[in-house]
Amino acid sequence: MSLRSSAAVVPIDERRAFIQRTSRDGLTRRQAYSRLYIAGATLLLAVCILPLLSVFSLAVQKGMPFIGWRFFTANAAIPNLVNPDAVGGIKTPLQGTLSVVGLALVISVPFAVIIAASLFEFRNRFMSWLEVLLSTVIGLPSILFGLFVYAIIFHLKLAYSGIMGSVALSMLMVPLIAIQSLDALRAVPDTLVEAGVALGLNRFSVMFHIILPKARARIFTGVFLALARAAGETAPVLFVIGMTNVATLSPTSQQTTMTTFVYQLLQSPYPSQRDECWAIALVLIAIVLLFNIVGRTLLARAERSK
Amino acid sequence: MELRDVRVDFSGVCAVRDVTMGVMRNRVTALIGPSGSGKTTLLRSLNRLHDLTHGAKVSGRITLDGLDIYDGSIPSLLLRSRIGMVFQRPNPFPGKSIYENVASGLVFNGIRGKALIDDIVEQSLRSAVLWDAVKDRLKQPATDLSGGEQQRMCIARALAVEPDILLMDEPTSALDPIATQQIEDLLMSLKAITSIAIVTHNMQQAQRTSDYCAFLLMGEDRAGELIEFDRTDKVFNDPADPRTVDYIAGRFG
Ligand SMILES: Nc1ncnc2c1ncn2[C@@H]1O[C@H](COP(=O)(O)OP(=O)(O)O)[C@@H](O)[C@H]1O
Ligand SMILES: [Mg+2]
Repeated sequence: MSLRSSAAVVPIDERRAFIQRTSRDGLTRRQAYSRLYIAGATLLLAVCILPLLSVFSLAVQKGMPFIGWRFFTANAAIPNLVNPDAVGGIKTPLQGTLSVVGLALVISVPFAVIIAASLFEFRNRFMSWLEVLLSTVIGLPSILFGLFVYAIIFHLKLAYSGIMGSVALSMLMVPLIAIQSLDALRAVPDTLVEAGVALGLNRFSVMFHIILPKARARIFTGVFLALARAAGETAPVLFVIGMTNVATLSPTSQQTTMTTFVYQLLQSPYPSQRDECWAIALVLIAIVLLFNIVGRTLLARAERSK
Repeated sequence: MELRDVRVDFSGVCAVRDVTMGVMRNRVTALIGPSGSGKTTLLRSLNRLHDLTHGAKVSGRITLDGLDIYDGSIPSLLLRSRIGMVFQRPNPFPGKSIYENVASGLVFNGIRGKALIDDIVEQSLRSAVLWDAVKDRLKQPATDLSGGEQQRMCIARALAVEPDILLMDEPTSALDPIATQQIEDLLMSLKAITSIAIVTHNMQQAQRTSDYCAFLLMGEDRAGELIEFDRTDKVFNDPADPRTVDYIAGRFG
């Protein structure tokens, strides 16, 4: 109380001088904290980046010699005792990935968008549970989707085929795209929706003519990020697509994708085939990177045009 | 505070240029002009807020008490503790009480002592004409206040560190007329303890509250330029530039 009343009679300039002095005196300490924080952040960043960089550089180092036109267009060559260094191309798994992931995309996008639109429109307890469920599914180990489809194949006595892989991948992609789309829909300003409603549009028209067009770029972002994720997945497809040595885009035949091909090669006794894995890894990194970049560019564009 | 040939670029695109003016001690200096003329951009260059914006570049010379604020002679942390800022929308720190909000600048600047801080919080709230309204609920979340009260609390928060200069970016544009009136009255009394630079697009407000006035306008290439800087009565009653005459007469902008 005594300090309080004495502080009240201190002339304003004196107190200003005191505050500024204290602030200046503490400056070295505050700057030191600031530097410490930046140093710590940099260190952690390095810890995160170093393993990534080493994987990447190894992939480039070991994989680059394989890369060439032939690598993408030739069928796999089987090394044998006479010709242990035979290395073929990845025509088969490339088409396999294209077919399996492409079909998964066709299946997931409509499902995901409809789910997102429903979650957006209908707000009740069931819907919020569904939302929680979807977010949870995103975090599940992807092998579970593979197991699920495997169980279906087993019980219904179906055949291994590309479609089965697409279904398993869709189970991974639908929640990813749906949750991202839901965020996109919710980011549309209420004022736009109100403007539409005030014009007499019904909910369906508001959704299709106002909300979805506005949210489109962010939804595409979600689609590309999900594609990036799906193209790199092995576990969901491994048990359900079978295997092929003949390049085909047909979803009903058995398939080999880039990732399951790596899985096969890794079990090979021939060093040349194991090295080839790095080349495939390099191609996969490039594909995933491309999808990510496209997705993020779209998002950045959407943010800017807001 | 003196500005000489100040210019701000965003990623190589000029937003405002050719600004030579001053922010006078214990006076209110208004920045007026149509939207997009670079008022906010200019104001934010005065406390180096553009440091946070990637691609932003400030050139020219801005001095505080003769020291260039961009050449490192004043650390930016220190600079910002001497220059307070009030934003267009009230931005109380969420999850903090009224008291904690007002005290935050002091605490972050290393001021210790409950009695002293109590006292400064009270005085700052009094200076912001908010004390009587909140003195019984200092521990309540600041976000519970009304918009006008929140804005006055933000002014108190800025005043608590006894800044030499207070920057205000359209502080009343999100407020109703009564709250606006209160803030305008407040400016008059704040002059006694600090210097104020205020952005406003309301010319009556500039005329009512300011002693000096800077008029900015977008040039041909959409970059803002300083057209005129003078005493407010001179700018409004006897402007030197025909474009100022037009703007004040409401012919564009
Ligand atoms: N962070 C930023 N990045 C790029 N351009 C900006 C940024 N901030 C402002 N600008 C540009 O600077 C110009 C002046 O904007 P601003 O200072 O906000 O004007 P005012 O406050 O007078 O309405 C505008 O053309 C705006 O596009
Ligand atoms: Mg502005």
